[in-house]
Amino acid sequence: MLLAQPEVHAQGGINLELGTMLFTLATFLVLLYLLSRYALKPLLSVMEKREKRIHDLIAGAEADRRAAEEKLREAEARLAEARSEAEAILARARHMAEKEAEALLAQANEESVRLREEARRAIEEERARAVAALRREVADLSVLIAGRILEQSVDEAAERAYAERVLEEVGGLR
Amino acid sequence: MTHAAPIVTWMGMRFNLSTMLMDVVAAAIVFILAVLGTRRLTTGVPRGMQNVLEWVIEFVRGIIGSAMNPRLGERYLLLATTLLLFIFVSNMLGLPFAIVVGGVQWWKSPTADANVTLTLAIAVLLVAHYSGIREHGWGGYLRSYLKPNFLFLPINVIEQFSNTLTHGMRLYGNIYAGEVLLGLLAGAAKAGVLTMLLAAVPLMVWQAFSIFVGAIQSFVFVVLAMVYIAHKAEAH
Repeated sequence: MLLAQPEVHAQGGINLELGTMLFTLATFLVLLYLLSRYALKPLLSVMEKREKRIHDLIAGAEADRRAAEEKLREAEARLAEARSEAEAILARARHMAEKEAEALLAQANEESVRLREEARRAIEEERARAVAALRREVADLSVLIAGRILEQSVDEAAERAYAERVLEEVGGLR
Repeated sequence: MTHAAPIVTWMGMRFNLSTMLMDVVAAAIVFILAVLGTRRLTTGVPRGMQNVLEWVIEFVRGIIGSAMNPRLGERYLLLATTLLLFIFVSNMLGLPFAIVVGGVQWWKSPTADANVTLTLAIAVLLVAHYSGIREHGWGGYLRSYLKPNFLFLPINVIEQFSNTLTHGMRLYGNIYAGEVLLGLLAGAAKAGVLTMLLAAVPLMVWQAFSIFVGAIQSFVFVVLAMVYIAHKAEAH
């Protein structure tokens, strides 16, 4: 393509060369195309993707934060509910225990009163029976003593002494 | 210090071989760096070159956003990014060294040739006018030359040429002047030991300054490109 030797021009002033200009334009257009196709467009798409990803991440983080807050509120509400329920249960239990204790105490009192009453009645009965038995005994003895006295009415003094002795025996029963 | 340019004529058109070579070199460097940087793309935390390129994209988005509605501007993101990278790399190419063979300079910044900068400016001009027609239709596009009133018609027409001319020449002037001064200092270094010692420090200072200028000029070029496009494409 090239012709012989290039002529050599001394450069004075500005020489416009149509060939140089066209070649420069062509070079620039080829560079524009190749650079865009193989470097800038891939780079731009990557930058765009990154921007989108960061945008998505921020949106996701925002959504997560909102969900977490919602859950936290829910948990707090549940906790408060559970606490009040526990308090109610505790109060009820305390109330019931008190009532039961009172009932038990009353029952125990009643029981003790009843037992005392029973014991007194038993003692009374026993005493009455003993007194009755004693009376019978005294009567029998009296009859016995009287019979003895009538059989041996000679010795008055001895009689008295004997009676006294008998009575002393009887008195030992008291 | 100017050197001759290797020119060939083909089909009635003149071609500067050195400029064409450097065009391709700059484009290749941009392409290779960008492809290496985007080989293992991650949607996670970007590292290394991917991080740099993402920063460049965000930077260009900022430029576009300052000139026009970002939603409309997204359409010009690839163009603006390519312009920025290509011009920045082009501006840097001439800084570390120049290759001169037999009085002909082969290695330089492609943007130190007005043909390159004007071509880019004209490309931006075409995009701007195409966008204007596309956004407003032929009627709206043509009526925009009569704003704010018909007296402004000549000014509006001249503006199209002057904008494009200054757009291209501003970049060319900065980079070309930088290379001329670098060439002068390098020439002084070649002349003798004493001049080399004298030239070393200013040479380094000027190289550092040229890095700054090259970065700023690529930024300015893209800002103006977006402003011109916005001027045509946005609602008047």
